[in-house]
Amino acid sequence: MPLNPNNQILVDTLKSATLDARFERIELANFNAMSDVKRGCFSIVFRAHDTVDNKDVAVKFYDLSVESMQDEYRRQAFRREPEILSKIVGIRRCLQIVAPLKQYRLRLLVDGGTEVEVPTEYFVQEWISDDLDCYFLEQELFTAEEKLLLFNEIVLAVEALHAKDISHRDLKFDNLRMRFVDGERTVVVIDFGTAAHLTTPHLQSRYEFQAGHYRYAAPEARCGLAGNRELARYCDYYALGCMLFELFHRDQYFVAHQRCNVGFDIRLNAMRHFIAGVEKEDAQVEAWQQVLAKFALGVAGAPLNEDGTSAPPAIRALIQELIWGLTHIDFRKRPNSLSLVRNRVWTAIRILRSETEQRIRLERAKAIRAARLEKLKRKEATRALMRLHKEGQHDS
Amino acid sequence: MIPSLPKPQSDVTVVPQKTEVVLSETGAAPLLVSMPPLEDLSQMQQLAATAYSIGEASVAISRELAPYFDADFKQLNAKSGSFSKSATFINRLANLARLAGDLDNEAALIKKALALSEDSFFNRKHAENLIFRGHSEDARSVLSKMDLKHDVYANLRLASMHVEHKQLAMAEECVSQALECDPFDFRARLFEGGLKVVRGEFEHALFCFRVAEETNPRSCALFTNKAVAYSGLGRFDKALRALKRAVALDPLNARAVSMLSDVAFHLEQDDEALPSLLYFTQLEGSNVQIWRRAARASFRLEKFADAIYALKREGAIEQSSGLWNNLGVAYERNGEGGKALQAFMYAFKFSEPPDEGSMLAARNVAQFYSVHQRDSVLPFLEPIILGPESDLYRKHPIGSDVFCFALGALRKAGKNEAAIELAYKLLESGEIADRLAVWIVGNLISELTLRGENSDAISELILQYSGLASRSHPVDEFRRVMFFNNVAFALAELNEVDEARKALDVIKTSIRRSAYPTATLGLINFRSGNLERGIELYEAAIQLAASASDKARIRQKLNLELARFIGESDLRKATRLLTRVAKQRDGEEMLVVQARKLLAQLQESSRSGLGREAKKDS
Repeated sequence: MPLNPNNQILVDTLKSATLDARFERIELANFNAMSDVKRGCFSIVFRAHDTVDNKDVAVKFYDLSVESMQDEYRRQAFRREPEILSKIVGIRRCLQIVAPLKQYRLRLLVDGGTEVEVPTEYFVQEWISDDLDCYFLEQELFTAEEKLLLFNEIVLAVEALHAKDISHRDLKFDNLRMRFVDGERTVVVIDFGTAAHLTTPHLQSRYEFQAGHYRYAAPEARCGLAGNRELARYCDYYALGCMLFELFHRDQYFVAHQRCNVGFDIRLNAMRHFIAGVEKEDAQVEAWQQVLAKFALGVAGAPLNEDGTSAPPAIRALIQELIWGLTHIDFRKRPNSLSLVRNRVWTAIRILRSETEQRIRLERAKAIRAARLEKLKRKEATRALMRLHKEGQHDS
Repeated sequence: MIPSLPKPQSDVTVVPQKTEVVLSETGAAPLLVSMPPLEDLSQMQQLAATAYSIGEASVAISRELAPYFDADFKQLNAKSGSFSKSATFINRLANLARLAGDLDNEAALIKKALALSEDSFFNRKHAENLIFRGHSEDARSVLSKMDLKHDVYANLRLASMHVEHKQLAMAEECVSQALECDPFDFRARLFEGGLKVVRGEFEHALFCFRVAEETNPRSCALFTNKAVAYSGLGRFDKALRALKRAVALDPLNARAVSMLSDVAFHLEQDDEALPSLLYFTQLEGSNVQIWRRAARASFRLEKFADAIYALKREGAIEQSSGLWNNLGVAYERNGEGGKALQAFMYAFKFSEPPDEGSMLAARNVAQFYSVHQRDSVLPFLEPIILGPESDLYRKHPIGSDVFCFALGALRKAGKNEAAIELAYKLLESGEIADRLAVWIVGNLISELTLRGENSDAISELILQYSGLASRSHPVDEFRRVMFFNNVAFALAELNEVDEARKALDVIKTSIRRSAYPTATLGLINFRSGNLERGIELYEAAIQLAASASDKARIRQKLNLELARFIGESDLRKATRLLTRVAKQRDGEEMLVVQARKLLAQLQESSRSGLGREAKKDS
């Protein structure tokens, strides 16, 4: 879809403008003119040069399409974004705000050639260009250790936000960037459009669906509890589990999970049905726990032990366990803290670094399987004997 | 002698569900005939408008999501410039194409991924896409070329295709190859167990399912299959337990919930299934099978109003003669006779020619009339018995009951000769349901015996039909008991005491549990000279008798036998007993005739005895 005409006017106007007497060379960044695809729902992102700090910045305008202009929820969410960013100023692993929310008066020509000024809102944040796409989309080029180290960084970035009582609620690899300072890589989470602080008020009383991306949204978020502050942290955990899977498997987690849980959407709709109308946060959590008791038992995590995985056998079970923990349908069974997750990640890294440990792990796994096979053979033999005995009794 | 009419319908009927194994889950009131129960119909229409279906809602949501996935596809595709050489990237695009419903694009992308990577993962995806697009043969060709020595998936997919073509032996080979690859693979063990169930090797199937359970104890399909295997072995209690687990794992699995209901019904533990059925209906209001089972379970638990509601919900989705008949049965048990009759009538006329539901309804109308409006039985049944569909009814195991009611009504109307004539006509036609034949012969034996005539005809009937009654389906225990009891009764009346005992032996479990066989044993004791035991058994039978008329008939027979036993030895006492037989209210007319005859005989012999003594004295 081509860029909305209002947005196009904004793009054209800013091309030669200097914002705040500071930001110039303003170029549209979240729209691919070749494919006509715009990233992000309710903002127009520009890359600009900050003449004060002499570095590039991201200038984020509120989307000027008619639908967005009429969408109060989205507008409020846009205004909340710089507020949230202001709570993480100076934190190394977090995205930094450069200029708070301001207004820009855009001149538009309306019917009859009359010129009107439309107030538009924007804020400025740091520009980080290095994305993590290749780790996820070309995973075969990276070793398991490299991917685990990256995941550890991702967890640290989310942990930094949670430490400030902020839940991102739209974690996905598209919303992650790498910042290099003195050769040291730091993963940073971007796009706080759906993020919420534990104390910020709700922008709407009810959430029909998830706040962030469908494929990374936790079951509770997909069932209308996306606004619940108590659960928000666990929704981020779920998205982390999806990403860990996607670092080690060719499929998206969503697809793999659907494949091993036929009818999961029906189950989820039933769960949504039972909590619909519950508005208070505590009551929502209680209702959700009751729904989980009825519907969670038969839900399986997406398996990593099939074709398509790039997880080395020595750490596969460990990674699998971690993914299942993070993406458990019951938020209470997800890890209590992200430091536990990092501990497991480091255990996996240590195994990969030590050949002896790897050998021990593999041998242990082999021994367990051999013992299981032996037990199965004994059972099969006993069953065959019993059948022969029965047939003998019938014959006689 | 058991002259009963067929028993009332005791349960709401449910068409048995096909057992599936998951391998890879009136005449009397013509006006009524043309008047459908409008109140019920309108309620059903209202309910249809309020039915919520989680399945339909989910399909709608999936449809709404397709454009979302399409946008997702475009977003990712925008990165093609950087990642077009990555099989993982292409695969993820293929996944999004599939989610967006574009299977052709998915196919093209998988081919592209295959060109980039030799990973068997993409061959699987390719085969899967071909199957989805209906290109089974191409899929088979792809699968056959895969490494069957190591690929569980390829073997199981090939097995599925063999099963679709009913090539079970070939499917078994593939499954066994899959198990060679991985003896602990859940899917392979589930498939193997399923095939064993199909083969009837239930023990072996259970073994497979137990191994599968070790790998994945959270599969609803696994526990449902286990239940099928347990049912096959007749271990319904274990089947019930497995099904409860299956339903706990997936409360929205219609197959598991239906089967839980069927097994619970079999075990007469409907309270175990009703909550699951109701829970299911809260979310899925458009499943006829579940509403039907909810109605049956509610009915069994005597929650008749709930059963009526469930049947109306069923009717809101799909109507049939069976549904209207069931509604009639539920109304009748709920004490709403008028509505019951209306529903039966509607069911009776629902299908042309009559199907099982309408025949069952005709039988229930007759049953209703014989209890509440005796005069209406024959006018209602005449057009059926004499009409062009008479043959259909006669041959049908349940439909044929209308003849029992017709014969009963003729007898009640005092038209015994017409009843006997119709009975013989039916027997001679040769084309009647076994159940009807057993019922007619049992009653004929009783009738002829009570009349005290034609012992040859009785013997002939016994000889000809005893085999049929023995073979009769075990569900029809009532008729078997009636038949052999009447045979024993007839033989005892013919003083064939040993033979009578043999006949009664066939149904010995009914003695002291059921009134008439107990009374017949009393008669045999009388005829063997064992008066005290005879009286005791008759009194026990009176206690056991359910209705006042049955009590009256047994008491009549006891008094008659006592009078016969006492005879001339105590003429006054015998006369008193026989007078009681004649005056018994609600009694049997033929016994009254017998009593009067015996009384006349006793008086005659008394008079002739007195005359002889007078002559002697003179």
